[in-house]
Parts: sequence; structure tokens; C-alpha cells
Amino acid sequence: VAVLEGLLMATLRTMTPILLAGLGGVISEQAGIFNIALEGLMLFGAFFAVVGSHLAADAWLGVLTGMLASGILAAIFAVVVLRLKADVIISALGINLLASGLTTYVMKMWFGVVGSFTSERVQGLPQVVLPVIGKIPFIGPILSGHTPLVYISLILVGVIGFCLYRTTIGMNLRAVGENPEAAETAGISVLTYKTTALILTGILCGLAGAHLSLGYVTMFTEDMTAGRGFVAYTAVVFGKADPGLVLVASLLFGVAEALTFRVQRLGVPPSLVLMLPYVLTIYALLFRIRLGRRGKTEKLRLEVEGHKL
Amino acid sequence: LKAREQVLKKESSFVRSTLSPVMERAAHYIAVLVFAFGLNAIMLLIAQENVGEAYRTFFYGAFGDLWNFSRTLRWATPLIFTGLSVSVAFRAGIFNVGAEGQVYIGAFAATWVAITLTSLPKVVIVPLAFLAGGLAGALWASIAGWMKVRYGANEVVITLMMNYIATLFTEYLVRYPFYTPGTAGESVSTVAIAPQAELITMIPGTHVTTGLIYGLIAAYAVYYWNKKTVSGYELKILGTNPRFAQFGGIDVPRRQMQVMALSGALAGLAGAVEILGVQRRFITRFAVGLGFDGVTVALLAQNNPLGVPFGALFMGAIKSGGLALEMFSNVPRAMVTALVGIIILTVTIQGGLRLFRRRGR
Repeated sequence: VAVLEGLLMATLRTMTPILLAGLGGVISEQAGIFNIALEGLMLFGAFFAVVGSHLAADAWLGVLTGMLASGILAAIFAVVVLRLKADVIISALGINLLASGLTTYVMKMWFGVVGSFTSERVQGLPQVVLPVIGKIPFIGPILSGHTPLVYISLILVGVIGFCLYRTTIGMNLRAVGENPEAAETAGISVLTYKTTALILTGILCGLAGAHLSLGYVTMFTEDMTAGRGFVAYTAVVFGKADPGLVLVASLLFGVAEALTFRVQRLGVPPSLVLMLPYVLTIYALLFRIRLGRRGKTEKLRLEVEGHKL
Repeated sequence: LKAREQVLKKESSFVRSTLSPVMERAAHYIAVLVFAFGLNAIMLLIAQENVGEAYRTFFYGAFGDLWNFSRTLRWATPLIFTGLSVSVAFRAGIFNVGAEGQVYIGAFAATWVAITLTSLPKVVIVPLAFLAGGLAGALWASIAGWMKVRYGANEVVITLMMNYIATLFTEYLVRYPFYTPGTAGESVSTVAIAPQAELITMIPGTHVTTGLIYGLIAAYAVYYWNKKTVSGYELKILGTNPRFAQFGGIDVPRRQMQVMALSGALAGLAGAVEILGVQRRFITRFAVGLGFDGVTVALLAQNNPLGVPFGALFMGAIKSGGLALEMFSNVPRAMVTALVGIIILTVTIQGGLRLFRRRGR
């Protein structure tokens, strides 16, 4: 039981960045933008969260800086893709590369360090002990004692779900994603909606990055996102861009990542164990497609095939 | 409405005709490069570096003398292969961004041949190692191809995931089944390959090998295949208009599988040429960025196989200059990564120049 408890607690921690970035991906996907820049946006957020925390000696100002930085990067992405009509996949690769290069570059030029960056001034996020739930055995230790971002991410699932399905803005956004011409005719500004969606995605990715670099460690290491942005995008595809289903997918990928720590201790070669989340991601994607085919074959295939063809 | 459309068409064709297409394309690239280097200069200025000095180091490191230029050629060699790999797939409308992983798998297969079949003579072992590399890369890429064709899975996501798996899998192979205690760097690399498996060095004292010539041959072979064979032509149609391709009687799934295999094979050859020409043993994570740089090469060459060597030369120069920067100045190589990021980000912008011109009039 103690093992399971530890595993589930770790899962909640490892799923949060995937969930936050995934929610960002949901917004992009609903607006009809194939966004694999989540990875770079997240990395940018992780780095600038640490920088902000270092400069202000305050964790929350750090988180804010991370969100702001990712938001700005997302805005640049939006201009290039939406206004200047660059290829969305290629530009996303450019954003990822730019984020990777820029963070390492700034780390060396401003702080004179290579590999990883931290300082005594960098403040991590506090851990919240839930008042009532925290006292329940088994459930308490799992749910309580996480950073606020873990709880915020869970609340955001509901908030974003509500906004997408129950508010005019959400409906409009989905209309823009589904049929931009019709939306434009109905008087909805497609460009404004898409741009806003991308910037929101960036902010959420910034939050995800901040969780990585200020949540349980208080440092930034080169390329610390390690493909989590891509995993988050797969969670979006897996969850058909629905916040609730994306939560389920993130939970799945979170378990896989949490498991890697445990299995490694059993003496299984670490390289093999680290492969697990990626293998599972591919498997989950294929499983999802097969599941969908049994039902409404054509519609889902079009969705999964994405925006190419 | 139709009349207006025609007027618009006429206008746009008029604008286009003020410059020939080739010139316009060249102008577009120059604009992108000027923009990227300009932004980079600003980055250097903010960091209070001497921009002139940094760029002098950079360009001297890329082209300055024979020794530096041969380092550019050394990097251009594998990039010709990865550039061809990416462009072959892009041309057929398939976004294979898995060259990175395919390079590792191909490299390991080539290494395996070159460290186990050590009694074979040179004329046998070198082609065999290349064959193994190409085949392994093709097989690895075919997994992703099969998932796309059979399940309709998005190849971008799949190939990105496969990159991580390939990196970790080869790392496992090096650390466990091929672990040889007592050799230099025993935990991160295999033993050295057989001496007769090494490629012949063309410029003494450098890493410029016959691999460069093989790269040029490969580029011409792909060009010939594109232009003169039915399958090459069908793939072009597949890339420009998949629906038309289907109606035109092209076996789309089969062609897509073929293209993934070919793309993977070329990436695998890049791995082989790195091992036999430069590394001479398999070192874990030795090829970071080779695959993604291949994307840049393909973009710069506009998927034209004959343009790929030039794109590779450019990227090789950037890599070589970046290394010189890191060695001789305070500026890290990451600056070059950011520079390439900006280039990729902006290179597909549609008619950016035309936009300016229309405003200018």
C-alpha cells in the first residue's frame, strides 16, 4: 500500500506539466491550430520562471515571469503562422529550436553557467497541506502536500471545459477551429480568436514549465522538458481535445513517468525504463485510433490525421 | 466576383514577374538570413559582446583557412544525407521529423558490422556497414510509416516519439549488451571499429573523408530517381495533391511506405558515414541535432536534391563556426542553435517580400 501511495503521489506531480501543456494544446487544437510548439513554449517558461524567481527572490513572481515569457514567444509564433502564413509544423520546430538555443545562450551570457542554473535566491513553490482531506488515511497523503500548481491545473480542467462548451467565447473558438470560413461569415474575427488561443496556450505552457523548474526542484537544466511537450500534444490527440479526456491521458502518461523512478530501483537498465513513457504514448495513440474506428470511423480519422492532407 | 478574381490574379502575376522566380526565391532567403543574423547581432549586443569580433570568429571558424573549412566539409557530409532524407519525405508530403532517431539506429547497425566482422577486407566491410546502416534506418522509419498507413496516425508525433526511443535504445545497447570494460569511455561508447572499416581521409589531418563524395553521389541518385522514374514522379504528385494522386490510380499507402523507408535509409546512411568517417566507435548521443539540421537543409534546398549539398554546406559552415565561437570566445554554441531556430521559424513565410513591395508602391 505504501508503494502504491508513493506511486500515486508521484503521478500527481509528474502529470501536472503534461496536463497544463495539454490544456494549452486543447485550446490551440479547438481553434484549429496544429501546435507542436508546446515543447519549446514549456522550456521557455521553465527557464524564465527560474530567472524571475532569481531576480525577485519570490516564487510567484517567477511563475508570472515564466508565463509572460512563454506568452510572448507564443505571440511571435502567432504572428509568423497566422499573419505571415508560415508553415505551422515547420515554424513550431523553429520555435522549439529557438527556445532550446536561447535558454542555453542566456544562461551562459547572463549567469555564466553551463548545463544547469540555480541560486540561493531562487525560491521554489510552497507545498499546500489540504485541511480536511489531508487527514484521511491513504487518500490524504496522495492528494495533500503538493504545490498549488497541481491544484490549479485540476481546477483549470473544469474552467476550460466550461468555457469551451458553455460560453459564447468558447463556442466561437470551436466554430473558428471547425469551419473558419463560416465563422468569418458569421462575424467572428478568426484571426483574433486564433491569436488569442495561441497566446493562452503559451501562458499555460509557461505554467507547465514553471511547475517543472520551481515545483519540486528549484533549478533549470538544459532541455529539461525532455519531450514532455510532445507527450502533452499526444495527450491532446488522445483526448480528442476534450479537457476531461486530456486529464485521463495525462494521468496515464503521469503514471508511466512515475513508474520509471520505481522500476529503475529494481535494477532494470535505466535507458530501457526511460523509454517507457514514449512507447506508451505511441501505443496509447494507436489504441485510441483503433477504438475510434470501431465507431465513427471517418470523422475521427480526419481529426486524428490532423490538418494536413 | 469572377472578374475581380481575374484582376487579382493578373495583379499578383504582375508583381511576381517584376523578379524572376529564381531571383525572388534567392531574395527571400537572403532576407531570412539577414533577419536571422540581425536578430542574433542584437542578442550579442544585449549580452554586451563585441558583435564584429564574434562574427569574425564565427566566419573564420567556418571558412577562414583549409583546416577550418575542412571542418565545415566534415559537418556537411552527414548533413547531405539527413537533408536528402528529410527532403525526400517532405516532397511526398510526409513530415518525417524522425531523422534524428533513424541516424542513431543506422549508426549503431553500421558500428555493429564494423566491430564484429573485423576479419573482412576493406572492399567488403565498408559497403556492408553502409548497407546495414541504411537497412536499419529504413526498418526503423518503416515502423512509423506502417503506423501512418495502417492506423492513420500522425507521423509528426510518432516520429518525434521514436527519436527519444531510438536515442535511449542505442544507449541501452551500448551500456549493456555491448558493454566492454577496460576501454576508454567504457560506459558511453563501444569499442573502436576495425581499422580497415574506416573511410579514407581526403585531406590529411582532417575528418574530410570519401563520405563527402558518397553524399554527392547520393544526392545525384535521388535527383535521378525524382526526375526519371515513375515512382519518383508519383511521389511528387502525392506531395502536391494527394487526392488527385489517389484518383489517378497511385497506390498511396504503398508509395508512402516506400518513401518512409527511403527517407529512413538515407538517415541511416548519415549515421553510418559519421561512424566510419569521424567517430570510429558508437558514442551515445553523438549526433544531437543532425536530424533537425537535416530539416533546415531540406527547407533551404526547397526539397531539391541538387540543392541539398549547398544547404548542407551552409549548415556545416554554421555548425563549424559555432564550434569555433565556443572554443575561442565567451559565446556558447547555443547561439547558433537559436540562429537556426530563427531561420526555420521564418523560412516558410509566404511572400514576405511581396508584402513589403506592395506596400511600397
